[in-house]
Amino acid sequence: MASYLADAMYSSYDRYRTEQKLEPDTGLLKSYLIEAHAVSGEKSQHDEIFSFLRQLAEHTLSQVFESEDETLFNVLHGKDVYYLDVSDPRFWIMHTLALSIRADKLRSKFIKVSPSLDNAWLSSQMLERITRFGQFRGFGAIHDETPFIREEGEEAEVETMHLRLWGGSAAIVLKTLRKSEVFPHSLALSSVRLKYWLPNLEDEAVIDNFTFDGKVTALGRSFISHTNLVARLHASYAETIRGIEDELPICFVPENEIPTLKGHPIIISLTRELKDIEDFVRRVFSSSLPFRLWGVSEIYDDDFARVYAVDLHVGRKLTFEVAKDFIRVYLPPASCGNTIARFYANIQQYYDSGASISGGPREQLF
Amino acid sequence: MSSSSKNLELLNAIIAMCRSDSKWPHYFFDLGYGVKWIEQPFTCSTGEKLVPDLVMVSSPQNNCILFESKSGNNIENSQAERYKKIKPRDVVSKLFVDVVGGQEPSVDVSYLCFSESTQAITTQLNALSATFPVLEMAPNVLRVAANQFSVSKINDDLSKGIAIERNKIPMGYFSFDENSSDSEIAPLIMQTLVSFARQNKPHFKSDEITQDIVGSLWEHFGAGLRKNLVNKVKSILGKAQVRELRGFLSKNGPYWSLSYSFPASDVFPTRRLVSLSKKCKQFVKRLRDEERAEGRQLALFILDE
Repeated sequence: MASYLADAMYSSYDRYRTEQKLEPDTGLLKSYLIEAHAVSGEKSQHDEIFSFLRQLAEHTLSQVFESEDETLFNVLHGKDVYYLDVSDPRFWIMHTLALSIRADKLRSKFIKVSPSLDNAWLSSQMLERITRFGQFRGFGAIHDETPFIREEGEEAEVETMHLRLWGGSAAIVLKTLRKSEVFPHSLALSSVRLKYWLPNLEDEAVIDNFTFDGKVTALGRSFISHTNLVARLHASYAETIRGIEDELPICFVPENEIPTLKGHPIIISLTRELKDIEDFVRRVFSSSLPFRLWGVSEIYDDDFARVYAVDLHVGRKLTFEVAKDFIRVYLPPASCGNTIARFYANIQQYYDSGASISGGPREQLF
Repeated sequence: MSSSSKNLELLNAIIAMCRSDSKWPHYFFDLGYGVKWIEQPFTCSTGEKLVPDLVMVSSPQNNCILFESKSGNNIENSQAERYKKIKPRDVVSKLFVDVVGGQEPSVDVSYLCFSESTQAITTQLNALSATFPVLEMAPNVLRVAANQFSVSKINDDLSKGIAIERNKIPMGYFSFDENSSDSEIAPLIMQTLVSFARQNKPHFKSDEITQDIVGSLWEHFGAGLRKNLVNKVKSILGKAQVRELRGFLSKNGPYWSLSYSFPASDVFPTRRLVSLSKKCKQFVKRLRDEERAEGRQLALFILDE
């Protein structure tokens, strides 16, 4: 798989450089980070994942094949091949050369069909940290307030905004935009682009584009540089999610025979005040995308709400307290940390790019 | 709001102060206090039984605080007399509180109340010569209203008071108890039903759903408390299945069954979930309305008498 993708990447990049177009029906190499709950420990990891993928394939008109490597599966969908690396059974990486439009659609379908799968959700801060892996070469900022527009014709500060800048001045432009405060609540990074090469392999540089829903698109010749970057993203994201799950759920655990309260609430501090908490709660906990949260709420007179919610991704419960300037989240034991990543990333994309998130000893979770 | 939920407000306010939370004062957390036991019965060396609402321990302060929360104006005299006899060795031997550097911890019993009740509670404690520190919660401040804690820093800081917003108490630690009203427990039950449906667990017994709602505290509750909680949840499920959740929830022998399932090919059946959400809200609202009506009838009855 690696040598095939490396060769394909090399030749398609050469053609792209010389002819400004790609091989017919082929796209750039893309890698998707996918969060999965497909292993229960009842059988071997390989068997459980294979069985899960076969069920998934039935609903998505795909075919799944085992490979020589037991942590690698090949998925065939139409003419396209997807290489699924499940060496971390919780966070999969799916590589493909399929056209973006088809690959994005299949990834969405996987997630729609199976509640056990979810995107990796990268916050603005996390995307910005990724730029430090290499040379910062561009960014995109998309703000879409549509889910929170109450009536047609209602004026929003910024209703929708698509901003994209590629080039070496990305860091300066981003800094200037932030400093100017022209978009105080609408400048969440939705993608970043960086140039990267492994030490002593400058000729083998890759330019990778990371989007906030866990997709990494490679432009360049070096498969090894690309996979190295994806591995760094995977390690950083997995560590954050596992940290949330290990340290923050609220529970009583025996400590020297004494039931002791562990865990801390997660606090999302808003820089943009919620004008109508009841309306906000109704929209966020409506079961629909992008939040995927169901909830029954209690609204109090003094701008405060408590929501008993269920994450429709894994069906776990969590409780939210919503005030004008913050949201407090309590995770029970065995919660999925990805729920928090999804909630926070989408709050940044759709409501308040300046929102920050803390929990326990961590001042900024993502 | 029931008196139980007022008690829970007092307890949750203190528990939250033992956690790291940038939107609520984390005063006790900073002093090294952790929450240890909740409603744990134990027998003192004098042979008398106590059930403090909350036990908080700090190794750095070598101190243990037993809280008794009082949402009303009355204390139980016999209970206060029993608390007067508690010794450090009781919390070491019965509540397993650590001995730090060979020294037994200091022990405080604190009465926790709303400011409206401070005077009544203090007067009753004084009449018993019980010098327990009284921690009162006013609308915007938490402070020591009477007597002293063993840790002088707490007295210094809390005699001035710590700013809080009483109407925004974090309540996610200890959500309900056996005295909570039906309308207070119902949202937690509705949440758990949807969670079960999502996790494809359509059949369950009353004790299974109660355990899921109570969470990790279940392990530490005694058989009597567990039974009371299960009966409470069972009764609410019974009310739901004949009204708003008819067609969604049914009972066969000891098992409850959910007829709602999430279609395998669609994890966002939004319309159906919104409809379910509405039914859940209607159910909770009906319970609240009924409780209000009962409260009004009781008030009228008392006036008539």
